[in-house]
Amino acid sequence: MSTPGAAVRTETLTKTYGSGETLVRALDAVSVDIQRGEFTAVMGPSGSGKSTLMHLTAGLDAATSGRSWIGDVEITSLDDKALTLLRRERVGFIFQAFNLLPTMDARANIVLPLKLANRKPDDAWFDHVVSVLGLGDRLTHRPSELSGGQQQRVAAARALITKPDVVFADEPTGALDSQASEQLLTFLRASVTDLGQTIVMVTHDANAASYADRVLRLADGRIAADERAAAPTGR
Amino acid sequence: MLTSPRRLLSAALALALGVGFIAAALMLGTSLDATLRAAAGGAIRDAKVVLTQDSDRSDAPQLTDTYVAAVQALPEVDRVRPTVSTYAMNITQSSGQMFALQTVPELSDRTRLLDGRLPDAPGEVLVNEVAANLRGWKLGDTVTLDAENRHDFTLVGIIDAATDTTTDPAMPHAFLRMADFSALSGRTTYTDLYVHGSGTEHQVADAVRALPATAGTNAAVLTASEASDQRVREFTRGSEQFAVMLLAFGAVAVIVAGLVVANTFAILIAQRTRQLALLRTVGATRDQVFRTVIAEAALLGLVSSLVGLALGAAAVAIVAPLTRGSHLMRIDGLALAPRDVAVPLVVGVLLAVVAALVPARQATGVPPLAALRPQVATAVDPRARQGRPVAAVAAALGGFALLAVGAVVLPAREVSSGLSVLVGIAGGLISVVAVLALGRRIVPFVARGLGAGMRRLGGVPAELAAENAVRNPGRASATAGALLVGVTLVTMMTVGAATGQASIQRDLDSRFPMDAQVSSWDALTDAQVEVARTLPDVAAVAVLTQSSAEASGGGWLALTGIAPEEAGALRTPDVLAGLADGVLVVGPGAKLADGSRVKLTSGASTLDVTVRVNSGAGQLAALTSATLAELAPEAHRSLGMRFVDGADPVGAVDRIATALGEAGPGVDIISVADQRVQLQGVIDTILLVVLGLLGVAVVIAVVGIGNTLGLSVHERRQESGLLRAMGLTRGQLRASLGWEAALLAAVAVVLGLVLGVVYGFAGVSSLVASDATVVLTVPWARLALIAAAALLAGWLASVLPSIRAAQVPPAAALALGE
Repeated sequence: MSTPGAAVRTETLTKTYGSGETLVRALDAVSVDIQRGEFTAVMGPSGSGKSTLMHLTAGLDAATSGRSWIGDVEITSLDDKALTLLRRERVGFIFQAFNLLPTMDARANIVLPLKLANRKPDDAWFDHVVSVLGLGDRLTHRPSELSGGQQQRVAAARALITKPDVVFADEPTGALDSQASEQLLTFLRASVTDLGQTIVMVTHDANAASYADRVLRLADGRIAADERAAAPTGR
Repeated sequence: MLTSPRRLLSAALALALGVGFIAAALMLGTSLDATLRAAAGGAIRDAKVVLTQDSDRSDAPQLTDTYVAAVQALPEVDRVRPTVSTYAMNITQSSGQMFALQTVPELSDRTRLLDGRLPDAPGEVLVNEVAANLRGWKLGDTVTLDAENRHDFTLVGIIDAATDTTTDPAMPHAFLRMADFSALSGRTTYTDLYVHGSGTEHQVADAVRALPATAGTNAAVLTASEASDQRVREFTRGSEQFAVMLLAFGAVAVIVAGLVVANTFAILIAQRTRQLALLRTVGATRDQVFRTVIAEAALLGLVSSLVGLALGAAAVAIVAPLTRGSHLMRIDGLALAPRDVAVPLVVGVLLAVVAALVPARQATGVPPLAALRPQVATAVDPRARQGRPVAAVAAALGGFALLAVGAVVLPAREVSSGLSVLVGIAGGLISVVAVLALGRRIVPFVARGLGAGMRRLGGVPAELAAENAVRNPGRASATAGALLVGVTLVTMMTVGAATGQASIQRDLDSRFPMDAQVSSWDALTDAQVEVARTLPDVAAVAVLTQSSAEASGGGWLALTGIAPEEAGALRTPDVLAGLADGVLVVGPGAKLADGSRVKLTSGASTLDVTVRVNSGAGQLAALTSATLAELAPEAHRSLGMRFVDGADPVGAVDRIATALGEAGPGVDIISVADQRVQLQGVIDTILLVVLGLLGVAVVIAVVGIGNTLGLSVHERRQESGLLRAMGLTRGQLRASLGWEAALLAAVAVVLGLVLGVVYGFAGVSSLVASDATVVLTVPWARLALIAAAALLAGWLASVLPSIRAAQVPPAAALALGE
């Protein structure tokens, strides 16, 4: 059974596509707890179900069966509207690409979740996040005027600006060169260590995973291994 | 592209509509011409030669019975139909009614005897069905007619007098033998001789001209064709301009259709990029791909044009019965000339092909590799910043300048008004095309301005929409452009109709300042005046006295005497402003200087008066009753009346005639109130039909908005997913797309209203000669309705795409590829 105080937990969470002979089990009765203040990496080859796990636990897609919680809220019982509001308030996202709205500058992209929630940005927190990520001189630039690394750092700032319960990162370094990757991963590591942020990162890159406290390996829709790193990179 | 029927449908509909508009305009012109020809030239029947005596000239021997006999005797001539017509008053116990008086016509397959027989003895009269119904006559009744003299006749027959007998079949007619006609009217000569004969028109005409007596008649000898053309020309002024105006609308409708078609083709081909690239990879040459796209367009154009022709013909056939009974524009039925079919067909096919040219060239530019590459939405259209639109700006300025020339300069110089219309149309078309070409800049500019206001109203969804609407300026301007032209046209028609109606109304008011004028062949009694003041249909009565006088240096004036306190009987009492004893109020047309003193001479008496010129007075020359009595004590007395608002004018005239007829001698009522009501009806009918057609154009444009939005939803799939992940609810996503559509519609509405008002004013100004006053009128309530309807329609267009967009779960939207 799951531990109270988990940031994210699932109980026999299952997602299937198709039916009969063409039935595909993308996720097969996965039960897992993600602790608060931990950096968890989810690894696995293509088709292992790691993205599906992230989509279901983040409330981006509906499970076929099983249950899932964010904090003490059971998201598998929520309707679309409640789920959307929950994401808005308590979840941050960093995707591999198409992270930013091309029509808005960096600042507008960062504060967009607050705007959607009709909240005022906390200026001190905004300045802190922006300066840690080194985006101070890029705030008026549009995404097309930013490098890939800068774009991902804007996405990271946006994910953190709401101080969410959990940040989901889906292959955040997938499109970056090694230097930009390292910069981003170092920041994510620091936000866990220094600020107590909870991060779940889906990746197939072992180097990226080495920054995490815990590595979940998925294969064929099941958890194949659950390892704790003794000394994560960047700690 | 024949595989995407839904999108194709909107292109085909747009084309069919544009072609239908042109077809309807051409067919309407032909039908109108046929009707007018029948009315104006109908009396010629199968005569070979027509002799027409100018009735204003009385200086020579004219078309007498003796001369008719001489023509009849010519070997080339079978028979001669001599006619003469004038007007006579039919008098009954209670009222007088104006009748057309004519010699007895020959019967034909259209002019048929309904009852009785034709007159063959002195004292017998034939009437048309209109007269018989009006008066409730039966054979054997006595008909009293008054022209120069007054005589009683016995009714012996009733005919249906068609347009081959009279130009105005709706009027009551009385027909007399020539001897009776002469005794009644004092006229002993004919105005028209229709000469039937064997041989060609020219042979007969030459024979008639060779007759020595012909020279003495001063009559014009014309062949039937010449006479027909001449009569149609005299008859058709105005209706030709109407057809030209309709054609101009047709041209603009074709431009709207072209926009939607070009945009739709561009979208279709963008979506088919992979398919076309696949064709290239399996060996299709550029030419083959190009030809395929063009051939499909031509086929689409042909099919749509055929549908458009049917639509146009149906529209004219539906309109025709609505015009019956209208004096301004009557159409008896649908008539077709070959060009009415050929021109729209050619225009439709050409339009489709031209609209497909640019997309077809892009299609051939698709490299085979594109089949393998994923499609990625461009953030900002790179073409947006290219090129300076010098040519388009110059064309826009030039177009508006031409418009101004056609509307203001040309009519003022009294060059034939046809030229001013053509110049105005050219200016309108050039400026519309230029504005559309500049749309890429104008539309985003206006959209940003409107978007700023929208943000405050609609929160985050509106803010997203404001940014999204202008991401692809080319697409935004093409989408808004189609609706823009629709709104422009609707606004132009509405403003034009309101302005035209107000102007004609003003003209009627100045020529006929009162709803009705009552006179009697005997003097009106005081009892009748008192009765008139108490009638329920009458809001105000003025006692008028009438005389004429010669003004020193100003020619003859028809003087009206009226007490200033009774000016309320006029529709526009202010035309009498300044009227006092010793003052003569005239319009600018009298060519008398304001403030000058003139001497009026009437018979033996003279009077000095001060001139006061009122711009609205028209042909009115007014004195106070007291002043006119000094000049002409025996002046004829009549009554001017203003009806209560909303009174049925025809019924009111009947009731007034009956009431006054009971109180004294029978009265004659001249009323323009029914003309006013009829004018309103005609303009409303035309407006309704045209707005109906244009309404479909707006619907097409809205379908275009839906198309564009559908494509945008498709392209922004991942972006929508991202927003949904970050907490944008389904409702907010739908609202955002709704705002985007509404914003595009709003841009079209704002620009369209401005342009439409300008074109409406310019159009009426160029149609109307400068000496007529154009009363520029903006029908605000109707324009507000147009704006609301267009905005609502724009929002409706977003409903389907936004539902589709919101249904996609965020995880699926975020997934790459597909």
